[in-house]
Amino acid sequence: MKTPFRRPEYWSRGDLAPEHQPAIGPVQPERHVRGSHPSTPAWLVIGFGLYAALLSWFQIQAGASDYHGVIWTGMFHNLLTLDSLGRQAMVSSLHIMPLQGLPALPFLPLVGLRHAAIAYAHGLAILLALATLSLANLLARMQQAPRPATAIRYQPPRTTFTLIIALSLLLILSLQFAGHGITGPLAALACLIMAMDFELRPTPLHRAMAGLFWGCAALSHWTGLIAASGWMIVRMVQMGRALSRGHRWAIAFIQLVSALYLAGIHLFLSALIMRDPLYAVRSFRIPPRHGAPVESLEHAFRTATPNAAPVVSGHWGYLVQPFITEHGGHHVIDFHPDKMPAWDTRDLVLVEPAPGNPLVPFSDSLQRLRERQTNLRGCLLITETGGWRFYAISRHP
Amino acid sequence: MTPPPVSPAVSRPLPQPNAHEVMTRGQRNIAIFGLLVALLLLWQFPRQLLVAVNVAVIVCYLLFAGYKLILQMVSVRARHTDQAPGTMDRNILPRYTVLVPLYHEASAAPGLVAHLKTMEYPMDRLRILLLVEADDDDTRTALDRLVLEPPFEVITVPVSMLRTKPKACNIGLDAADGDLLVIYDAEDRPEPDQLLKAAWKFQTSPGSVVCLQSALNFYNTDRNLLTRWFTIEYSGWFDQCLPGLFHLDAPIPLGGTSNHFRLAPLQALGGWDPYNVTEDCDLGIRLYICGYRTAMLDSTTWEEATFRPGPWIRQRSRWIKGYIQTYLVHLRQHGRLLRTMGPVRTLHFHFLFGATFFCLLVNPVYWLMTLLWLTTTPAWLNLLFPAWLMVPALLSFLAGNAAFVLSSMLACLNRQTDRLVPVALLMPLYWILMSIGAWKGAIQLVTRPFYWEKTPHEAKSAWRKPS
Repeated sequence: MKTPFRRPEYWSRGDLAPEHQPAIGPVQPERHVRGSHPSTPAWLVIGFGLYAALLSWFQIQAGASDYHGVIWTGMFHNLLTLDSLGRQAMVSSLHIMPLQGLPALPFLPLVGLRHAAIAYAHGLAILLALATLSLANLLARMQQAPRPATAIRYQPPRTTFTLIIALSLLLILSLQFAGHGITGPLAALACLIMAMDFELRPTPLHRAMAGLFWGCAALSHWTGLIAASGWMIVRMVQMGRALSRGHRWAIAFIQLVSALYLAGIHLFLSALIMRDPLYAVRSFRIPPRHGAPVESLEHAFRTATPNAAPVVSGHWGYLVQPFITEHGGHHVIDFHPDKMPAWDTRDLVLVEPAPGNPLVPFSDSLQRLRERQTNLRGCLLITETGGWRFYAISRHP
Repeated sequence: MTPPPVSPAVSRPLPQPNAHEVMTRGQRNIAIFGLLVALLLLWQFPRQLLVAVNVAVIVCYLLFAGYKLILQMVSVRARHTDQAPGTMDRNILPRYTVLVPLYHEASAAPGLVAHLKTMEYPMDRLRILLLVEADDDDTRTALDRLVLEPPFEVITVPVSMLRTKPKACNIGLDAADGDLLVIYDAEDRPEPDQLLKAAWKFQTSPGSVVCLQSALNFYNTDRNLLTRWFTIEYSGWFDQCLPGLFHLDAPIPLGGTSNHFRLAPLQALGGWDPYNVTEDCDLGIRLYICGYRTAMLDSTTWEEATFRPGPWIRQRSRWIKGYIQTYLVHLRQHGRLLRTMGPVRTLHFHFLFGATFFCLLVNPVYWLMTLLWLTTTPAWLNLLFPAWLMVPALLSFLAGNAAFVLSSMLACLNRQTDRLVPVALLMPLYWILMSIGAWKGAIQLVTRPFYWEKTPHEAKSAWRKPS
C-alpha cells in the first residue's frame, strides 16, 4: 500500500514569499495529550480553598495554640524587618524548618505581617493541594493492579473517586494536626506524598525528580528528615550493589544528588548564620508525649522577674512575645548576653520551659548554652514553677 | 570597521535587516548616551548606582533561570516522535538539495561523501552540492580523488574578503533547485532516514512550517571531559529547550546544520545574512517575523565535538559574537518585532539572545564576588549586597545554579546517555569556559566583527552511531 503522499507540486508551490501569502495566524503547536485528569487545575483550586479555609480557621479561632503558626508569624516579622533573629530562627531548629514557611511568602503582601499566620496557613494549603493530586495518583495505582507480562510501567489516570478520597484523607489529617496545635509536620507529609508519587511514576525524568521532593521533606520537619534519610540510605545501598551504571543507577544518582544538595544548602546556611552547620541537630529534642499545659506563664513572669529583664532563648520566644514585650524583656534565638542592648543594664533572667513542658523542643537547652557560651557561667537557677525555670544571668563575668 | 564586500559574483541583495553594520548610528548614539549617563550617576551616586545594577543583574539571573526551567518542563511535555513512512512511491518524493559548505575539509570529505551515499533517499531526486572555496586546493583535490558522480556536484565559491559559511550557502542557494533544501556540515553524520522523515513531516505540517530543525548530538562523546560536557549541553538544548520553544510557538534559533527548508520561501526571504557569524539563529528569527514557523524533527545528526579547549573557545566565541550580532540587528526594528511577534514572543527573543550572552559575560564577575564573600568578605561587598538583597542573591546562587545542573543531568537521562549523569555535576567548570568564549566573542565583535573562527575537525571516515 502506498503512503498517501500528495502530488509533488505541493512542495514546489510551497508557501511562497510573504508578499504572496495571506496573513498567517499563529500556528497551533502539536498537542501531545498526556494522561492527566482534565480538571486538574479545578481540583487544585478546590483543594487549596478547603485546606486554606480549614487551617486559617484554626489560626484565627485557636489563636496561640498552634505553636508553628505563632512562631512563623514572629519569624516572618523578623525576616522582613531584616532582624538577624529571623535568619537564625530559620536554620536553628528541626521543628521549625524553612519549607514550612517559604510557601507562605507570596501571601504575606496580601494579608500583611499582622496576619502572617493566615499566610502561613495558605502556604501549607498550597503544599497540601499539590499533595492531594499525588495521593490521588498513588490511590489510582493501588486501585489498578499492575498489568501482567509487560515491562512497560504504566500510570493509571487519577479519577474523581481517587481525588475525593485523597482530599478527604488529607482534610482529616489536617484537622487532626491543627487540632493538636502542630501544623508543621503537614508540610513534611505533603512533600513525602509527592516524593512517593514521583518515585513510582513511569517516566525516568519524573522518577529522577523525586529526589527534590525527598529533599524538600527533609527540610520541612524532623519527621521528614528521618524519612528522607532512611530512603537515602536504602538508595545508596541499592546503588552500591548495582552491577552496572545503567538507567536505574542514573535515576538513583540524580535523586540522591538533588536530596543531598537541598540538605547541603541547609547546612551551608546554618554554618553561615549560626557558625555551626549542625546547630539544629545538636539542639534537637523530641517533644514529650504528655507535657504540662502552657499556662500560668504570665503569672510566672510577674512573680519571678520583678526588677529584671526577662530573656528567653529558642523559638518559643515568639510564643511568649506579648509577655516579654509587656515586661520590657528580650527574646533571642541563639542566646548570648552580649546580644542584649547596651542601654539595658538590668539583670537578666532567662526563662526556660521545664522538662515536661511541650515547649521544651522549641527552646535552647541551658546545658548547650553553657557549653557554647563561656560567659554564661554566672547562670543561677533562682526559681522553678510547674512548667518553667528561671535563671539569673550575670552579664559581667 | 569597513565591512568587506560579499563577493563580486553574488548579485543577491542582502536580507533586511542585516549585520553589515554592527551597530547603526542610532544604536551607537544610544549606547554613548547611556554610558555618559551611567558615568554621571556613578560620579554622583556611586553606591546607589552599583546596588541598582546589582539588583538588575540578580533579577535577570532569576528570570533567566526560571525561563529555562519552564522551557524544559514544556519540552518534556512536548516530546514527540516522527516516523519515516514505510513504503512510498519514489516518483512523488520532493526533490531535495543538500548543501555542504566545505573549507579546509580535505580529511573530512571522504567520510562525508561515503555517509551521504548511505542516505535513504532516491538518488535521482537528490542533488548534493559541495560548496568549495576557489582557493581551497586541498579540499578540491580530495574531492577529485573521490571521482564524484551525480547526485554529487562541486560548486566553486568565488574568493572574496568575506569568508563566511552563509556566503557559501547563498551561492549554493542560487544553484539549488527542487522543493526542499538542507544544510549539513563536513563532519555531520545525519541519520540515514532523516531526509525521508523531513519530507514526510513537511507534507503533514501546516503550510506555514517552512523549516525543520533536527536534533544535533556528538559521536565522539567519550573522547574527553570537554566532549562529554559539550554533549550534555547539546542534549539539553536540542532535546529539552527547542521542543519547548516550538510548543510555545516561540521563535527558534536554528542550529547551524541539519536545517531543512522549503526552498521557495527561503529564496523569497533572501537566504542567509553573509555578515552574520550565526546566520542560522538570525534566519530563525527572520522566518518567524515573516509569519513562518520552524518545527523540530525527531531525527539526530551526529557531529564531531570540538575536543581541544583552544578550538572550543574559538568556536564558542564565534557563537556568542553571532548572538550579539543577531540581537543588535533585530533590536534595530524592535517596534516591528513587537508588532509581528507580540510582547510574549519578543520576550522569548530577549531571553534567548540578550539574556544568554549577558549572563555569560557577567558570570565571572559574580563568581569572583562569591569567592571573595566566602573567603574574605570585604567591606565594599557588603555595600553592594545590602541585607534585603541577600535573599534573592542567595536564591539565585544556590537555586539557579543547581537548577541548571539538575537540568543537565535530566538531559543526559533523556538522551539515555546515563554514564554522563555524574559528569553533569562538573558543568559549572564548563560554564567558566563558556564565559571565556563569550568575552572573546564580545571583544572580537569590536575588533574583527566578520571574522569566521573556523572550527577544525578530525572527522574520522570510520564512523558509527554511538550506542
